[in-house]
Amino acid sequence: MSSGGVTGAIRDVASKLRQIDFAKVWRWIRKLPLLPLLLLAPLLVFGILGPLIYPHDPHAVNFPIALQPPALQAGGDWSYPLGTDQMGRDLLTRLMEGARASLLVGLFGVLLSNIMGMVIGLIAGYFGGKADQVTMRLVDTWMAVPGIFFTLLFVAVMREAGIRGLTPIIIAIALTMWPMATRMVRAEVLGLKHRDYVALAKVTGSSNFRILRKHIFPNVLNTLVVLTSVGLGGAIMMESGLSFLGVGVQPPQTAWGTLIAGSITYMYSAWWIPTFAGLAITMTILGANLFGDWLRDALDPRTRQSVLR
Amino acid sequence: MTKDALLSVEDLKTYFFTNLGTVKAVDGASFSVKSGEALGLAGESGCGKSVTCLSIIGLVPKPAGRIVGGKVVFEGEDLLTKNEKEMRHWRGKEISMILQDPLMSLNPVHTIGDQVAEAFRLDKIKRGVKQRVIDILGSVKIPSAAERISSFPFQFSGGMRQRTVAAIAIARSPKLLIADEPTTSLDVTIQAQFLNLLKEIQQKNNMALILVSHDLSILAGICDRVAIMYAGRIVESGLVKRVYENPGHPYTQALMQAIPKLGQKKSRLFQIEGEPPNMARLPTGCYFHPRCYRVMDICRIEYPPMLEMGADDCVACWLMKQG
Repeated sequence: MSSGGVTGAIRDVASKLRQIDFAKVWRWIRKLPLLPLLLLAPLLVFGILGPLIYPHDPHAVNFPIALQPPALQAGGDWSYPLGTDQMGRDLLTRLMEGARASLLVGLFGVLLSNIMGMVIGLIAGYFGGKADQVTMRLVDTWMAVPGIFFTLLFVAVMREAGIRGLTPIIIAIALTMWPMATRMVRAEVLGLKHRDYVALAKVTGSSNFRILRKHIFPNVLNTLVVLTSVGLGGAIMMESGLSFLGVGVQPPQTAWGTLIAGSITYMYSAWWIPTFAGLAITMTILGANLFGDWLRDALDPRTRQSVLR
Repeated sequence: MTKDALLSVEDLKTYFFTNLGTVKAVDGASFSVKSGEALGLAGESGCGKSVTCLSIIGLVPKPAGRIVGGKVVFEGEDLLTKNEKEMRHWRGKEISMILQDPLMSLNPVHTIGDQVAEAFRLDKIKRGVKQRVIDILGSVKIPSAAERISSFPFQFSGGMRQRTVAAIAIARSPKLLIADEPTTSLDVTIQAQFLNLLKEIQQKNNMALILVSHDLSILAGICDRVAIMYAGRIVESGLVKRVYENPGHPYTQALMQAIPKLGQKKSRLFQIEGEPPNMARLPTGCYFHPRCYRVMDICRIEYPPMLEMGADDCVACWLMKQG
């Protein structure tokens, strides 16, 4: 800061803003993939803004209009564009609220799993030897345990212990997903640690921690970013599955999985509830996967030319 | 060996334990470097030049490779007895190294300036790092260094990248620089430029240099002394002029004959018969005897000792014993 104080800070920020080349920013935005972002947009917009933009109260029961069909169908009403559920609650609002749970659980679950995978993968890959052997056998064993079985058990045990809410779900998801991240990071590190710049760093006297931080970590960051995007889809899928089975997000809070589970009884009379909830899950996971694919191409120097330049 | 040596390698043995047997990559190599001296290490591919260098600085690929014997004495201390953490005291500050492929030696995700600055950060220097980086990049002749420090490696040419690597290697002003075939991936004109720069830095900083190459003409131009390696051992060492004009060992003699000379009207260059020995199954006696044109009976039985021919010259050959 040159002049100091609050006015100085504001002036600094203003001059920084003036330096931004908006044409460049626009060119950069143009390169973003349209379809994946469009598919992910509802999740992000409703998940972040949430209660600020709900058209109705998601929990307000209104029996006279229970199971009202979507607006375009006979008997529908534009004030409830996607119809209502068995208790007369607006389906659109409920889907919006479900996005919130999915975003929260998916994002934190995948972040936690990636942080675990990154730390363990870096150590196993870089130091090798016994540390590597032990962790990799652990990963192998862990991958042999069916994910849904473990998560069910874990969430049930947690609930018995009195721990409720979204935290146990997030932890369960992270615990099932970390082996993948660990493997990916480890494989990457195995290649990176034999690069000459690592040798040069050693030759100039850098410590192992310094080499990991300075030379290895920045190079696995790309993989981690891609892993996060693709993993988001997987985590949301898992959350939906758990909610569907009744051990995930608990009523009165809404999740897409619970919406489907609750509507099974009315499936033949009220097709719109499972359909739109299922569509929401499909869109989100497809969007996350496609975005992950795009990220992988965009961050890979070999294919970057065609995607970003 | 000589007492005034900065570094002396004594009977160094680095073996690789593989599925196909033990490969004796370095098998009893001995040589020394005085401070401020440039030593050339020459030999065919696979004769153990690079492994010798890695052994000195303690970077032999584990777990296959292991130093099984010998000493690496640097300023009176045996580096082979030091553990990884203690070795960091010598690496960079006392002994530094330029690796074989300079183009891979820079991390693609950091700027040039950042990577050079790393060396100063290791010395806990906080102030004036930027100026020091610019100075050192200037000293390796990076044009307009001040603007270049924010460039990324891919924006640099091969020669510039190699000079940057050299800058990193000499940043902490080591007493000994090991350059392992620093010019193999550069084209000939850039090669000459880089070697001249290396020589200049060596003389300015009064730094000892071990230059590894299979190209004898490169070594002749830069080094004070050369050591010729064959199958993991030094077969001859001496002052450049003596070794080139009057080689003692039949292997060195053959190497010298294999260099094309200007104005020579010969359709075919001299070549050494046979091929380098399999390092996992070395012949008995002198390792060179199956290819030697003056082989004697004793050569097949016993490896010749290192015979000192003068102050600086050593030859390991039975021929010398007979005079």
